[in-house]
Amino acid sequence: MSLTSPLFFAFLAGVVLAYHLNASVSYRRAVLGLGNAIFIGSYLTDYTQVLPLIAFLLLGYGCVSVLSVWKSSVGLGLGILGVLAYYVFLKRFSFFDDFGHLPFPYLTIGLSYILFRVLHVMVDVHSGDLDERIDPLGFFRYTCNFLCFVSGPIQRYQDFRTADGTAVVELDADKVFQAFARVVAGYAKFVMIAAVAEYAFSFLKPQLFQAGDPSFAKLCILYAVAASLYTVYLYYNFSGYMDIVIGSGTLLGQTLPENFDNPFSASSFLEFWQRWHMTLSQWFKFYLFNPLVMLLMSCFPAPALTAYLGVFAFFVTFLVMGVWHGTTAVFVVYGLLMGAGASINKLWQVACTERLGKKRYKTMSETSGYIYFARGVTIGYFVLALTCLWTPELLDFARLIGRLGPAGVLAAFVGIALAFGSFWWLVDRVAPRLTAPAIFATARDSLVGRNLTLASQIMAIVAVTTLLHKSPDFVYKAF
Amino acid sequence: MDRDKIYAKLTSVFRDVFDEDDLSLMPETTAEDVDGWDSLSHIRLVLAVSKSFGVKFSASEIGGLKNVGEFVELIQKKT
Repeated sequence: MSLTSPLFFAFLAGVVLAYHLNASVSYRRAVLGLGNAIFIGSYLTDYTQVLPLIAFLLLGYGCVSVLSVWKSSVGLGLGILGVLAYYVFLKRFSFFDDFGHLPFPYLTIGLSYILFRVLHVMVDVHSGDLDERIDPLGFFRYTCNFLCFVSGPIQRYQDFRTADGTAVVELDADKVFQAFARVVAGYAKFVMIAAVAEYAFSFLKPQLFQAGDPSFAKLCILYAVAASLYTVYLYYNFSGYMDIVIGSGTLLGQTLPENFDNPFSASSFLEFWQRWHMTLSQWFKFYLFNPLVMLLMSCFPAPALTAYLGVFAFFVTFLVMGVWHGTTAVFVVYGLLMGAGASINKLWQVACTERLGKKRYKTMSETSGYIYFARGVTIGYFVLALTCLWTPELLDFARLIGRLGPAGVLAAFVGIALAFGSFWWLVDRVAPRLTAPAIFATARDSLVGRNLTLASQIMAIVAVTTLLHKSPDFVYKAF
Repeated sequence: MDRDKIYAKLTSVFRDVFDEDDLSLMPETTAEDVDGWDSLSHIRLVLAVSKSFGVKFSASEIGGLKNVGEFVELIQKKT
């Protein structure tokens, strides 16, 4: 069921009500487990479609069980390889088409996120960080938590277990209101901003591929605007989804991790990824970047090499993270762009530190001119790299880039960077002057004011959905 | 190992890794407070601490450290 469908509301209300009927841990766990099963079941039209997912979970659980008694690095390596191989097979990566595929349609939604959870549990069980025995149903509740099933967030098992039906959930009027406000804010982002941006984007995108001979300037502007609209769509779609699941989680005593922390205020590519899809980047930091840097530093211990090892490790990590986003060749390009962004960022830091010294570089990076410039460049780069996500076929991607040429891409980049840098400059100038009189704030925070705000948001959502005549979907579901 | 001893030894490891002779550590000291404590020097620090105290850290311990206090507690648990 789509999280924007009325069915989901009914389902969520049912789970929340059932959950609070009884405070017994085993009862609540049964409710959550059943909720997950019903949620997954709603995507199926035939029971065979879920069999590959069940096999994936069984494989993961088997590996975890073996690793909990046989803590061998060889075992862990073999387990990771096995789980990854089966994942790649199920996701039907275009490079491995020759290996064949299952001869029937099956469910792949949520698979990427389950993969991260399974690998994390395997590594942590092997290292002894997770020493408790996870029972099969607990493993199912964790890996297939319906709130995080479609697009994350990737919660750690250690955080999940504290709220796995055991949390004392005391819901008062204020908490429930906060939860609803968060959910409604999520829907507002989702069906108003994201859907409108997508509407405009899908109107402009075909024009980029249309036959004819548009002027260079028109093509560049069209590309820059379309790419920016896609970014707005992606961000509000995904962060709206996060608001919905985090708000809903509160009603079930679950504190799900945040995935966004003002990413567009980042003034470097590396900082951007500390603020964007945070649970994904944190996962990669824990389980790929850190072990890789450790291995490299053990092989090349000279401190002078640290920064360069970092450049390499950032490249590899962001390459893999980029490739994870899709199954076609364009996502390798996306991975390369992410890897290049991260390593160029690190090289820039190294060069500036060497040339200016630590203190002068720090002073320079704190000047407002530098911050606006850096924000513009960061976002310009990210916006253009996202082209890979909206042209998933390599042929289309090559056609578009070929049509624009290096000059066109550069012009779009400069245009976006300038527009974005100026936007922040303007916001920082205007925002401090926009202080509403205290009486407005008091009225807004009063019981009537708060409910009126919420009600008007809901009305606006209904109005926009009616106008757009379509039910939006989660973009990250596809990854 | 005694907490004060851990702090003394850890301070010397920090000074060595971050090349700051007057660096002092408090339980609430975080990466924000130490110049140059980024994701790369964090790994160098962990390696130096592992060597100095003769302990090993797991992936989630390395990634999950929030401040010096947590680091000291972890070392104390392992020594």
